[in-house]
Amino acid sequence: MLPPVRQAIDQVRRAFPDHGIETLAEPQGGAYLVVDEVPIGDAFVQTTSWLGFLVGFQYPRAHVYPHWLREDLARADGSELRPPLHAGHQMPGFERRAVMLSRASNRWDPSRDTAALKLERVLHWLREAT
Amino acid sequence: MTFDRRPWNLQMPEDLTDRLMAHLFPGDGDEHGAVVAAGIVSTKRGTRLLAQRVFLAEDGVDFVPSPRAYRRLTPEFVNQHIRFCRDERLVYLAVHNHGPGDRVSFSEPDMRSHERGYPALLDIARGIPVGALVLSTGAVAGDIWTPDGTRRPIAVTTIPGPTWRRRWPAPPVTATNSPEIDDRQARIFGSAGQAILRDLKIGVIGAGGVGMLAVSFLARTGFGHLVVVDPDRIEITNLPRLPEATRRDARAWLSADGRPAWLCCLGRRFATPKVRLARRVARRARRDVVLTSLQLDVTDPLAARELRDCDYLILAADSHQARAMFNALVHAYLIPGVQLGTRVEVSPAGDVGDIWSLVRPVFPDSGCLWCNGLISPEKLAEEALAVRDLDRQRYLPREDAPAPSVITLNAASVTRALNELVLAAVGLRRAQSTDRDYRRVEMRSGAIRFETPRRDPSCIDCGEAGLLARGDEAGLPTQVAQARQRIRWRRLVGAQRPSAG
Repeated sequence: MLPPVRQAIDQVRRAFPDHGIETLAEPQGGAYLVVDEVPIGDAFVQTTSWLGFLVGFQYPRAHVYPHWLREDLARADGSELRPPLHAGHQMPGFERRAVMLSRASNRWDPSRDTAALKLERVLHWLREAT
Repeated sequence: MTFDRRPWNLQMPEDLTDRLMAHLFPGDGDEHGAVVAAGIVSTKRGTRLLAQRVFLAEDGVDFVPSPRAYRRLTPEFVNQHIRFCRDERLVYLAVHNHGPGDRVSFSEPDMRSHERGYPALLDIARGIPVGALVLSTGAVAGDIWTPDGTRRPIAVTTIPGPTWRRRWPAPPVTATNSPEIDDRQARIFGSAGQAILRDLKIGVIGAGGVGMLAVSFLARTGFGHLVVVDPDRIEITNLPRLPEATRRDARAWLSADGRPAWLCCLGRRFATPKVRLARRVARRARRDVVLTSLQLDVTDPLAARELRDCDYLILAADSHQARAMFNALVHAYLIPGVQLGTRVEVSPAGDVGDIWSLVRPVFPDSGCLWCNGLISPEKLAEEALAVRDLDRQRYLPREDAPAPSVITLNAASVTRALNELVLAAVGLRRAQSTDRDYRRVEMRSGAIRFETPRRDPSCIDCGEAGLLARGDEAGLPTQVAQARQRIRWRRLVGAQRPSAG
């Protein structure tokens, strides 16, 4: 695992100290992460989900996206999941069936953005999702 | 840490050099001082210092009369900057000037002052070399002290920019006559110019339609050492754009249309690697070229290790991972380079729009691909996912249709960039105000567009807090070493490696 990737994992651990965090090194030097039992707000039937993502070997130059959530994620209002949420995917690395969230950002700044900040932004979006 | 005992070389970005020269030679004929902080890189060819910052000493305040020599930097100025260099792990270089001319050397009082002061500076620097530079208007000399107690001169100072300036302590000895094969070229470049080309090491990232033409032209022109990096093998659809490639290279009888999938797969597996074709192309062009071919992804640390030793880099690969590596190498090691390519705009209905031939010069002080939005963090994330995962991620905008490509269009950008490289290297290039601009030629109309690249001071690559001139201390965006990957090192003919400088 490359030093910037290890640093990203440390930052995620510090940002989510009360959550279980699983990591899995990938061959190029990056790592898959899963943060367990994260509250995702009222827009969904489920109140919590695991959240997974890849910190690629070219992090922080590489954006941290997409993210993956629990497979059974469903909207509280009964409507179908719609983009950027995509049902029927699988998170690589951990090989979990998952819903994928593809929230790319054109404003990713390698000198300032981190995997932990991105995770916070993803959670904010989920909690605001209607 | 052990240090190379051969003379060292120095690279100074053009903007830094211009600021330093304006300070040292304001037209008053007097002596002035400064400090340069430099990164360091050691390779098989030798050790290079990479100037990152210059701190100009104010006359009468930081640069004052000396009781033992003419002028000196004040202890406060020295102390401030040796500590900065120690903390940043950069080499401290005290700089002053002598008069005009193309020869320069340290005076006796200069050398005595080094002997009095530099052992103490080495103690403060904690394992980092220290030294001094003296400049005339057309020459640079250096005296570098290493922690093992030895000293080295600076053999050559290179100023990587559009006109590729070089400075020596004294004019180098003129080269002997060129071999007969170079007769027509030497009538333009001179024997000295042809010798310069022979000493240069050029990295070519990507041996596809653009890169392979570059390899052919570079070898025939007489560049002495080429490093070619490409992980791929030849496919039948590559044949119209790869010089000297044959159907046999593509294993066409196995992978042609209509063959069973398993047979196509076998054909692709045993097709000739592009770097092997590059070796063949270079060898047929010129038997004395030294070629290092690496069948690796450019993000492999072994590829990066070889490319950091190049004098010039040509980016002829499409991926954003390759762009990120190229950009990091240019800035961390102060190696000038160019991104080449062709972009054909085709509508979903198949109508052909503009056809662009692209030449993007990237120098350590201008043209950064990050600052100009030419490296996409999203694409880097997508490319980091293995192919099998990409196939699974249906949300990702896959560009399934291969990009249109024609050898003559590829040749347009290659010839333009290599003409600029050759003329700059041999000292024949005339400086233009657009030298640093990105160039796009619309091939259907011949219209040329120039774009002046932007620069962001906080950039992760070209900013002072980023990789700039960090050399071997820089963290390049490489993957971890892959033991299973196949490495191909080939040197053509038993020619010796070109020497540095």
